[in-house]
Amino acid sequence: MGILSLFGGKHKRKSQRPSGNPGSQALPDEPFATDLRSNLDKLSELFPDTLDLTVRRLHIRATGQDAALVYIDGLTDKIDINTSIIRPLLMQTGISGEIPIEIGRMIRIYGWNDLTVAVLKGSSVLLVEGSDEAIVMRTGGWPQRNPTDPKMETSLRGAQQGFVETIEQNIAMIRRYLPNRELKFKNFNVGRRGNTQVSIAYLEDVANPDILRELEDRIGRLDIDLIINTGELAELIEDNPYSPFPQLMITERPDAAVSQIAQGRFVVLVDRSPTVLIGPSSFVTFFQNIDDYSTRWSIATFIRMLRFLAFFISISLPAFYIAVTSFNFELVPIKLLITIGTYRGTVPFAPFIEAAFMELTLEMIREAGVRLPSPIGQTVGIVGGIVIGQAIVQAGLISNIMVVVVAFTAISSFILPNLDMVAAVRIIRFSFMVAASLFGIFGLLVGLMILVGHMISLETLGTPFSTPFAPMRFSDWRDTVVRSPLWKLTRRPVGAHPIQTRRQGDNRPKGDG
Amino acid sequence: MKRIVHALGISLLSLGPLTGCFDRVDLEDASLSLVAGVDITEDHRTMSYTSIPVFSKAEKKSQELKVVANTQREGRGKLDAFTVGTFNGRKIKVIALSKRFVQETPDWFRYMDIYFRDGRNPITPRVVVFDGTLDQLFYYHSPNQPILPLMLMGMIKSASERSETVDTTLQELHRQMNEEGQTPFLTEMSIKQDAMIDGTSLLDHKGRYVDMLSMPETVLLRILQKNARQSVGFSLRMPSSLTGSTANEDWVSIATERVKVKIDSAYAGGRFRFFVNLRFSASVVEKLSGLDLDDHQGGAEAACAEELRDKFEALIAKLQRKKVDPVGFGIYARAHHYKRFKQVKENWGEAFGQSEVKVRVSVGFADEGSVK
Repeated sequence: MGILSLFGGKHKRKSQRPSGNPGSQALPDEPFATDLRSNLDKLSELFPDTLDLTVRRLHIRATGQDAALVYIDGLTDKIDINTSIIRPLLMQTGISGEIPIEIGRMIRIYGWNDLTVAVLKGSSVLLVEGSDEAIVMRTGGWPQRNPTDPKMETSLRGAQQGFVETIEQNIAMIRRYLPNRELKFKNFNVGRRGNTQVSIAYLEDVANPDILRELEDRIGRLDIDLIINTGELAELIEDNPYSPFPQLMITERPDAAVSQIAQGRFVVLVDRSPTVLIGPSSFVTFFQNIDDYSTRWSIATFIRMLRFLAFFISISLPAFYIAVTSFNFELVPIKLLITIGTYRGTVPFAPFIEAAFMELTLEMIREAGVRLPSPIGQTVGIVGGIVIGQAIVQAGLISNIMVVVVAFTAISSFILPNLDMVAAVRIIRFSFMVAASLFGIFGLLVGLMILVGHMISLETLGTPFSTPFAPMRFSDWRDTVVRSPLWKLTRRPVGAHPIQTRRQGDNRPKGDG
Repeated sequence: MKRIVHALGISLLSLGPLTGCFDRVDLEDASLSLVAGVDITEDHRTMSYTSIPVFSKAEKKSQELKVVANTQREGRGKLDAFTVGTFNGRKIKVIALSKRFVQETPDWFRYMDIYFRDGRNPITPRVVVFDGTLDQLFYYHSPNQPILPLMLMGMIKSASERSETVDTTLQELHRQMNEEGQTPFLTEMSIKQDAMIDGTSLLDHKGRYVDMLSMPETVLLRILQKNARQSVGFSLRMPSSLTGSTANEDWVSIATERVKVKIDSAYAGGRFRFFVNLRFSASVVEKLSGLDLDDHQGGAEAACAEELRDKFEALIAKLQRKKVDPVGFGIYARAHHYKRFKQVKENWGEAFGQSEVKVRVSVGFADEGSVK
C-alpha cells in the first residue's frame, strides 16, 4: 500500500449505530378513543403548558357531531382555517352525511403519534365525537419569505429566484423547470426531534439507480437529533470528511440545481434550508457556473480557463513566493530578483512570517466583512485596504512584492464560483506555505503531488471525484476547461453516470444556407 | 483520523532526512554573487573577483570585491568575510576572465572545475574575456549604465543577437574545450570610452589566447557556424564599371533573409580540403549609386557574391594562419574521414592550418526595396 493511498481511503461508516434514542417522541402509537372528551384530555396531557396550541370545539352542522379542531396558532394560516374549515363546518348543511371541509389536502390518521407530528408541523387536526380517526388538514402558514434573488451566487443572466426555507416551494421551483413525469422526489424524515423533510430529486430514466441507492442509504442511516441546514447534511453524508475538498456541491439556485438534475445528478432538498445539495459533484463541477451556459461559448471557455488558472495561482502563489525567496532564488530572472531583493532588504521578517501574516490578515478581513452588518462592513474594507495597501508597507513591515502576491492570490480566489471550493483553496494554500517554508520548491512539489494523489483517490457518492481527468473520460472534456458550444454537448457527462446518455440531437445552427 | 495522522507522520518523516531542508537562506540574507571574475597578480597568483547586488537603501547598488586565492573555492571563503550575508554563487550570470589570465595561465580551464563538480553552481553563466585588468571592469561605474551584472548581460545579449559576438556559456565552453574538431571562442570586451564589446576571442585547444575577431568578422564566423540568428547586414562595394559613379557612391547595403551554408570535406594530397558553399538570399536595404537593379540584377548579385567571398576567404585565411578552428571544420572532417582525422586529432588546429578551404558564395536578391 502506497503512502498516498493512506490519504484517500474511502471513509468507512461504522455499521453499528448507537442504540440510544436522541428524540423522545417515539411513544407506542396509541389509537384515538371514540369519545371526544377523553381524546381532549389525552391531548392536554400530551401538550401541557402549550399556550400556542389552540383547541376549537365546535358543532358540525352537516352531521350533527361535536368536534374539536386542534392546531398551533403561529404555524397555521388563520384565514384558511376560518374560511375553509370552521365556516363550512358550522354553516354548511350536509348533503351525504360527510364532513364538509374545503381544503384540498387532507388525510385520515388513527394514532396520537401522527397527530402530534401533524400539529407540530403546522397542520390542523379535526377530532370528531364518536370516531376513532382524525382528519389532518394542511393549513401550514408559518412565517415565510418570498423567493428573492440568490445572495451568494449572483448571476448575470440566470433566473433571479433563489431557494427559500420551505421545501414545498423549493420543490415547486424545480418542477417549474422540469414539468416531466420522470422527475421524482424521494422523501425522508431526518432527525428524531427535528423531523426534517429531506427529498432527493432526480430524473428516474436518467439518473443512475446505484448512486440513488447509495444516497438513500446514507440519508436513511442518519440517526440524529436535528439538522438545521443543508451543510450539516452534507457533512454527515459525504465520502471523506477529512478531505479539504467539498464532495457535494451546495447551491441556492434552482436553475443550477435543475441543470444538474438534467445531467443525471441528484439534488437533495432539506426543509427549512434555502440551499440544496448536488451529488455526485466532481472537481470540475465546482468550476462550472450557470452563467457559462448562457454566455457565448468562446467567452465561457476563456472564463473557465481563468478559473482553473486562478485555482492553481491561489493555492500555490504565496508558497511559490516563499520558496523562491527562501530557497530557490536561482529560479527568478535576475532583474526581478534584484527588484524583489530591494524590497525584501528592508523587511525585518522572514518570507514565511511575512506571507503568513498577510494571508491571515486577509482572512480576518474577509471573515469580518462576512459577519458584520453591511454599514460596519464597509469600514472593515477601508481599514483593511489601508492596512494592507499602504501603512504596512510604509512602516517597512511587509514588502511591496508580498502585498502584490497577497492581492493577486485574493483576486484569484474571488473568481472561483463556489464558496466551498474557495474555502478548500485557503486551507490548501496555508499548508503549501508551510511546506514551502520548510523545503522550498521541493516542498511545494511534494505538496502538489500529495494533493493530486488525494484528488485521484477521492470519491463522491462512490464515484470518482476527479473525473474526467482521472479516470480519463475524454468525451467529458468538452465541458471542463473548455466549454464547447452547446450543440456539441450531445451526451450527458459520463461523470454523472447517467443511464440515459443522449441529451440532444443535432442542433448545430445552420445559418441561412 | 488515525489514517490522516499516520499519513502525515510518514510523509513528514520521509521528508526530514532529505537534503535541501537545511539550506534555507532568505534572499536578503544571501550575498548573491552575480558576476565572478578571475585575474592574476603580477606574480601570477590567481585573484577572485565578485560583484554582489546590495539589497538596501544604500546609494550604491552593488558591492565589488577582490581577493587573492589559490582556488575559486578558497576565493569564495575569503570573499565571504567581506560580505554582509552568506556568500552564494548559485546565481552567477557572467564569468569574466582577464585577457592576461587567459594568455599567461597554462591550462586555465581547470579553475572552472568548481562550476561543474559542485552541482549547486550554475553552468549557464556567459564567459567573457576582458581586455585589461579586472580592477578596471569591476570598479568601473558608468553613470549611464545599470549595475555591472545587468550591464554585462545586456551587452552580451544585444551584441550576440546581432551576431556581432558569440554567446558562449560555461557549459558550451566545456564542450568546446573537450571537442577535438573545434577550438573555443569567447566574447571579448574592454573599456574604452565606456564598456564595449570588441568581438570574439579565439583560443587554441588548450585554451590559450590566440587572437581575436572584430565584430564584422564575428558575423562571418557565426554564419559559417550556421548560428547567425537574425538577419545580418553587409555594406558592400560594387565595381564602378557596374555602377558608373564615383568611388564614394559605390556602396550597396544588403540584409540577409536566409543563408544556406553547406560544407563538404575531402581528403587529398595529404591534407584536408573543405568546400564551403554559401547561398545568400538578401534584400537590398540601401544603395548610394544610380545603379539600376532591375537591369543589372545579375551583375549586382555577382558583385555582392564576390565581395562576400573575399571577406570569408580573408577570415578563413586568418583562422588558418593562427591554427584555430572555431567554425568546427574538424567536426566535418571527423564525420566523413574518421581514419584521417584520427591521425591528427591530437592537434586539429595544426591540421586545419594546412588544409585547403574553397569558398563559393552566391547571392540572390529577394527584395530590392520600396523605391526604384
